[in-house]
Amino acid sequence: MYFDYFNVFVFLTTGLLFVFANMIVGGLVRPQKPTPEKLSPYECGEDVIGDSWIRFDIRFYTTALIYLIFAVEIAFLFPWALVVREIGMLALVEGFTFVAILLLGLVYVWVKGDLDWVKTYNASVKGGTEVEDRPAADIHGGPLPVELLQAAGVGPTITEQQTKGEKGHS
Amino acid sequence: MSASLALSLWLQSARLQQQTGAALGSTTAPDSNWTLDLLEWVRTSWLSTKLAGLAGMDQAPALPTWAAAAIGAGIAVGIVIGFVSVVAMFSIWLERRVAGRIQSRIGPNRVGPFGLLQSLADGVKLLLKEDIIPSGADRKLFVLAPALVMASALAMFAAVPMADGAGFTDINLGVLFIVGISALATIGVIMAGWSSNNKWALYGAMREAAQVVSYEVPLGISLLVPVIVGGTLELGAASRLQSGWGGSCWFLFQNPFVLPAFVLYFIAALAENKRAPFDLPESESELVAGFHTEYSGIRFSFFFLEEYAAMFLMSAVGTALFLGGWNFPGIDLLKGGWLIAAQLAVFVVKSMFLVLLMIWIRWTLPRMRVDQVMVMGYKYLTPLSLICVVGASVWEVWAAVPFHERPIWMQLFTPVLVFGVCAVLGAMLRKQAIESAAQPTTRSRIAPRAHAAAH
Amino acid sequence: MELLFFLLFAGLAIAGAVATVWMRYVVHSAFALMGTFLGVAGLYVLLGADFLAITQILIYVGGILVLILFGIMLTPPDRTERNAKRVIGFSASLVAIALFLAVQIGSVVRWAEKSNLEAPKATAAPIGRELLRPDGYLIPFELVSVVLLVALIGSVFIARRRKAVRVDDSSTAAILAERGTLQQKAGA
Repeated sequence: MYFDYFNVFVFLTTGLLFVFANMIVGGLVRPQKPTPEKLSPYECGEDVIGDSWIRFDIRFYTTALIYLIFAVEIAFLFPWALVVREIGMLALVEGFTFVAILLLGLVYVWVKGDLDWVKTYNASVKGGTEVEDRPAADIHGGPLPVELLQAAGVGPTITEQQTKGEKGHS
Repeated sequence: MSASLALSLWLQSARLQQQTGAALGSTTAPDSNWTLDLLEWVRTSWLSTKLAGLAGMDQAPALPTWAAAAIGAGIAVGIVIGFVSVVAMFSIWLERRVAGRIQSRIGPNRVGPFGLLQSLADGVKLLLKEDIIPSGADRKLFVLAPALVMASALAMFAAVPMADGAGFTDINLGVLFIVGISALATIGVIMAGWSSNNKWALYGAMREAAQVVSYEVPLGISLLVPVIVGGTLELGAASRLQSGWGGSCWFLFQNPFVLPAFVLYFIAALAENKRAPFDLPESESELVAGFHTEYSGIRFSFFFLEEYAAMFLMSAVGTALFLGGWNFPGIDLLKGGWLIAAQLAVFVVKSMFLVLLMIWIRWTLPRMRVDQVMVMGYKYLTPLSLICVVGASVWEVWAAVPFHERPIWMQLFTPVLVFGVCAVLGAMLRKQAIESAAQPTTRSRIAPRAHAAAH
Repeated sequence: MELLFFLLFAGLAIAGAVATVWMRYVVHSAFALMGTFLGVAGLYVLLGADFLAITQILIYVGGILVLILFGIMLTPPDRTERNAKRVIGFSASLVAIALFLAVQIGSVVRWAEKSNLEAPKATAAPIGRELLRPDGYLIPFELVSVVLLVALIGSVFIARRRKAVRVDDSSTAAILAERGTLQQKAGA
C-alpha cells in the first residue's frame, strides 16, 4: 500500500515540478519585452475600471454547502457499496434509510428554491407587492433584470420565457 | 487545531516512527509492481552481473528499498508524462479534425501526415511566446495555479490501470481517489481566476468551481454502481472482474442499472471537465476565455493540456468501470507480451472512443444557459443516479451470488436489455435524422430574433 | 525514510497552519489552509488510514476549502494588511499553549508500542462491514444521516437570502421610482 501512495506522492510532486521546469526551459528561449499595455488586465480593449476582487453572490456559497453534505454522504456510501452484496438485506435497508433521510434534505432545498440559480423578480404575487432582495452584483450569473431587458426592447419574448420556465417551481 | 495536532504528533515522532515502522517497507517488502520487477530484472541481468564481477562481487547488490521505490516511481512518472503529453496532443488534433469535419472544412493538415504534428508545433510556438503576468496580478498564486492543476491531472493518472498488471500503481481505493484528487484541480482553477485580477477570469473561476462542485455529486454517486456490482474500489481489480465470456462480460452487461449509471457518469464527466454543452466557465461569448483569460504562452498550455488529459482520464475511468477495461472478445487467445500490448491497445482505443464522443458532443450541441447547468446537476442527475444505486443494489442483493454463478436467464437478461435499448434508440435517431434531412432548410430559426429587435 | 516523510507531511501541515494565520490577505490564508489539509492527509496515509486520507482530501479540499473560498468572496473584499504584531503575539501564545499541551499529553499517555507492525491493509471494506454490523456502528451510521440532514437544512436556512420581503405602499412607490430611473438609464 505504501508503495502505491509513494507513487502518488511522486506523481504529485512531478506535476508541480514539471510546470516549473517548463517555465525555466521556456525562459531561456522566449522574448521578454513588457510594456504597460501588454501587462494590463484584459477587458476587451477598454481601460480597466475598478478592482476585480468583488463580492460574490450567496448562491455560490449555498451550492458549496449542499455539495459538502453530499460529499460526506458519498464518503459514507463507498464503504457501504463495497460490502452490500456480501451483507445482503440488512445493508439494503440501512443504505436506503441513509439515502432516504438525505433525500429529504435534497427535497427540502429543492422545494424551498435554494437549488434555483435564477431567482426571478416576481412583482405580481397575490397578497401585496413582493420584492426580492437582489444581489449586489448580478453580472456574473443570471440574466439581466427583466425591466432592463424590456427597456432595451427585447422584453416581451424574454418575459414569456421567464414566466413559463419559472411556473413550475416558483 | 491541526497545527497543535501536528505538533503533538511531531513531539511523539520517535514513538510514532516505531508505530509506522512498516512505512515504505523498512520492515516489509513493498508491494509488487512492474517498475520494481524491471529494476530487479536489470539487477540480475547479464550485464549487471558482469559489472559486479569486475568489482569483485558475484552479483550486483540490491538497492535499498526506498531507492528502488524512488527509481520505480521515477520510471512510472517519466512514462506517464510522455503518455499524457502524447494523448493530450492527439486529442487536441482529433478535436480540431473532427470540428473541421463537422463544420465542412478541413482542419489542420499541413504539419506532418494528416496534420498529426500540429499540436507539437503549437507546443513549440507556445514555448517561444513571451510570458506575461498582468501588472495587477497576484504573482505567486498566478504562478502556482497551473502547477496545481497539472499535479492533480498527473496524480489521477497514477491510479489508472492500462493493462493487467501494467498499471502505474493500483491504489486499492482507486475510484474514491480519483473523485477526491480532482478537487485539487478545482482549487487550482479558483487560484488562477482569483490571482489574475481580471473580471472575466474571476467569474469564470467561480462558475467553474460552482459547476464542478455540483456535478461531483452525481459523478460520485453514479460511480457507486460499478462498485456495488464489482465489490471493489480498485480499478485494476474491477477490470479483472469483467474478463468472463471470453472478455466481453463487462459491468455494462452484468446489471441492468449500469447502463443508465454510465450515461449519467458520462454527462457528469462532461460537466466536470467543463466540456460543451457545459463549458460555461470558459464560454467565449460571455467570459472571453474564463479563468485562463490572462494566461498566455506556455502557462496557458498547461491548462489546455490538463483539459485534454482530464478528458482522457475520465474516459479511462469510464472504460475501466463500465466498459470492461482492457477486456475485449477474443483477447485472451493471446499470450505473454502480446497480451499486454493488446490489452493496452484495447484500453486506449476504448478510452479514445469516449474522448471522440465528447468531441462529437461539443461540436453538435449548443451551450446551455448557466441556470440550466446549475440546476441540472442536483435536480436531475443526482436523483436519477440515486435511483440507479438503489436499483443496482437491489438487483445484486437479489441475485446474491457473483455473476457467473447466477441462473442463465439472469446472466442473459442485461445484455439483451442493453442491446435492445441501443437498437430502439438508434432506430429512433435514424428516423429523426432522415426526417430532418428531408425537410427543406428555412430561415425561420432566426426570424424570432429579428422580430424581437424590431419591437 | 518514513521519518523523512513524517517530517515532510507534519511540516507541511504546520507550515500551512502558520501561514494561514500569518498571511496578509484572507484569500492567501485560505489557500495556505490547503497545505495543512494535504499534510494531514499525508499523515493519515503514513498511519495506514488510506480511506481517511482520501476522504480528507475529498471533503476538506474539495468541499470545505471551496466553501471557505466562496465565503471569502461573499464578504467585502478585504485588502487591508493585518496587524503583524498582534498576529505574532497571538500565534506565539498559541504555539506555547499547544507545545505545553502536547508535552503534557505526550508524557501522560501510555502509547501502544509495537516494534514490528504488519503492513497496513485496505481499510474501506472493513469500514463498510463495521458500519453495517448491528452491534458495530450501525446506529451511528444512521444517525450520521440525520446529523447531515440537520446540518444541511440549518446551514441552508441561515445562508438563505432574505426572501420576498413584503413592503408597504410607500416603499413600493420608492421601488417603482427606482425602476423608472433604471429604465431611463437603459434607454439612454
